[in-house]
Amino acid sequence: MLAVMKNTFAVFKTNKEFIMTIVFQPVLLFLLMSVLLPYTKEHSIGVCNESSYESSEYIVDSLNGLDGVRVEEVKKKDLNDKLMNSNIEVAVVIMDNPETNSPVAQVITVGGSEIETAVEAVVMGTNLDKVSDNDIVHVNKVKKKGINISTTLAFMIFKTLTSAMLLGNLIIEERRNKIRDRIFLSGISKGAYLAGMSSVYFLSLAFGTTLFFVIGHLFNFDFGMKYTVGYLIMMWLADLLAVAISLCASALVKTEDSLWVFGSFIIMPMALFSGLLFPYEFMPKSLKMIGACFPNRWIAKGIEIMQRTGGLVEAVPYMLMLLALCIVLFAIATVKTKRVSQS
Amino acid sequence: MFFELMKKELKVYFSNKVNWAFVVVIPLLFIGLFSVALKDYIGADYGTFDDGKEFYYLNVEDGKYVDRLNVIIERLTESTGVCFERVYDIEQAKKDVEKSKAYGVITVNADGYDYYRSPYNETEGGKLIRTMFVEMAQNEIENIKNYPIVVSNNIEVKVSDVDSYAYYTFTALAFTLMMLSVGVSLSIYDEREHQTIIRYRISKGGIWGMLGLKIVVGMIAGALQLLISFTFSTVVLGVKWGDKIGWMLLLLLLHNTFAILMAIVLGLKGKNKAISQDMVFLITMLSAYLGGSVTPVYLLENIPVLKLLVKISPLYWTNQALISLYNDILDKKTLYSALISIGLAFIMFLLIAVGEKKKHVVMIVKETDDKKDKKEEVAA
Repeated sequence: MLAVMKNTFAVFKTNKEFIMTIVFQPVLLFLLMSVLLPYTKEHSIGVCNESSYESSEYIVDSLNGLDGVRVEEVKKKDLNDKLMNSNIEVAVVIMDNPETNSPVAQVITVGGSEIETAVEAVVMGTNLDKVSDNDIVHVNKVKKKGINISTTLAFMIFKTLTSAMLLGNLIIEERRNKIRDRIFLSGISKGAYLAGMSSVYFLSLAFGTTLFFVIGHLFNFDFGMKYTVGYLIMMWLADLLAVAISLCASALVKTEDSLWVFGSFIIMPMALFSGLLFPYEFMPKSLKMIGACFPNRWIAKGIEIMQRTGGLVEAVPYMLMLLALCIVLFAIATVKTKRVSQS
Repeated sequence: MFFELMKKELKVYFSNKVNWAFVVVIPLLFIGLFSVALKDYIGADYGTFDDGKEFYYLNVEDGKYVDRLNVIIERLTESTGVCFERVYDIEQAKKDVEKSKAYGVITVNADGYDYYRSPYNETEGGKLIRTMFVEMAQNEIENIKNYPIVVSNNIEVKVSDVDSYAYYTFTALAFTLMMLSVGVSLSIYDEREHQTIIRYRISKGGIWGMLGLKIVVGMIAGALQLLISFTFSTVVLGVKWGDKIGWMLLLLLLHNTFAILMAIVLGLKGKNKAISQDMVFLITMLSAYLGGSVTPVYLLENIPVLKLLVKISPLYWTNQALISLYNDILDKKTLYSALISIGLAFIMFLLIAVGEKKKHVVMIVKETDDKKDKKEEVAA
């Protein structure tokens, strides 16, 4: 097995593109996607202050003080476009009311918004005299967080699964070029051969995952959980699953082309239904039910549970499900490889 | 001769089931899935306050802060639907907040309020409720109860027709057209692997004859994908392409041409088949993300750096122009989209030409060396 591992490392050394594709490219992509995938539940409010009263600024301050919404200043001439293009969801236009000598505000939406009444409540609750009890509310301090990893999660799982396809490619190539037969002739067992190659791939993938985890910590990424090591464990399981799927696929298909078909028509739909291209929570019920059957979702679900409950124990069932699936896939790959070799 | 070769190419392309899947299944899957899956998201219906709960704990049974809290509870429940629950064990309540059982715990003291939120996983709804509470809690009851500001809705807003069905019909279609080029890239790599490309290079038609065939086959596949997507979106999703359909088709075909040429470049340069297809796939995915084919483009435009970064994606320009044309607006966006597709296609063409010229020079040098060797052999 050690000899196989050394040989696989040698292949990596010869063709540096392998290391790039398995280790560094995913990490770079993960980091890039952490910024590029802005799926957020943050609502956006546009404020257009046309009032000449100083007190109108208090309304703007009240809105700016809201957490969980993005507030931007908008010119009146851009209001229509911004609302139409969904750049803003709610517009608050503040004008003069000469009758009361105070500002008045209009809350505008296109087709309604779930925060419309909340915004109205904030606008209406603004104290224009600004004689208020400051410092009577003490909120516990929370460490400021950076990029949220949740938006990238499905993409990371998908990329991990596809990166490991190179393992399948290498196995098929060695089989086609009869290199594998020579390895078997040298006395190395089929199980040791598969385990050797898999472990090198797993270590490479796990190295990339750990690297992302460390960088994430350095850049203060928001893992959304108390014990972030839980995230790392789940991602290592994703690496293991990726290796197991690739190994199994290489044993089941004959050519590299078929492996590509496998990637496109099994891994891709699996990822799609698990929230790769659109957030899982916004999917209709029927699609969610399909997604829940795939291991990609088990990984994501495990992480979500840890985020929600703050503990690791609650995610153990999903970890066990993943491990069990990996064992089944490894078993299929070994049995199938033995049969093919015997025939 | 050309038509014979063309027939052969088409036969090879369409005898591959994977290519059929890319032409037929992928666009239907993407357009259908995206349209349905992101329907609520496009409408910004995030369920922000769904099942929202807030705990409160009274350290004092009465007083002005208790009265004020009661008014706030009334206002917040009315405007957000969040329910408030009194708790009697503050430590347990805090633990429950960390387990996402409530947004936070408000403790009423004799001199004000304490608000406890989860240090790890405060939701967007929780953030909103907390800040609304803080804003209201600093006011006297009269200010919370009386509405000093008139709220009415008398500004007219033109409503957009672009729902998730229309949006993803165009953006997902442009994406899948680009994805189609993976097949072209693989086919070029096959020619290299089987060394038939060398035969093309020394044949009368030359390499350009072969590349021309690949481009035409890619265009035919693209046109077929367009037809299928058009029928699906019109009949099943009820999307009306409108009067500017001619412009839309032109932009999509130009985009398709660029994608095919890009795939040819990657097919010719890739060192390994898997890596070559991975590259095409990666570029396509990145362009799609940045171009708004996956994440609605307005979300990308709301982020400072991304606002500029999206513009490097050719899909961004195509999608923007298609949405404008769908809204019956023929403006600069159409011109920009066409020019960008043509410009990028031209750059790809140049890359192929330069690469082939280098190969040609190598072949001539090799040929001259061979002749020299032969002459020397004869002389010897």
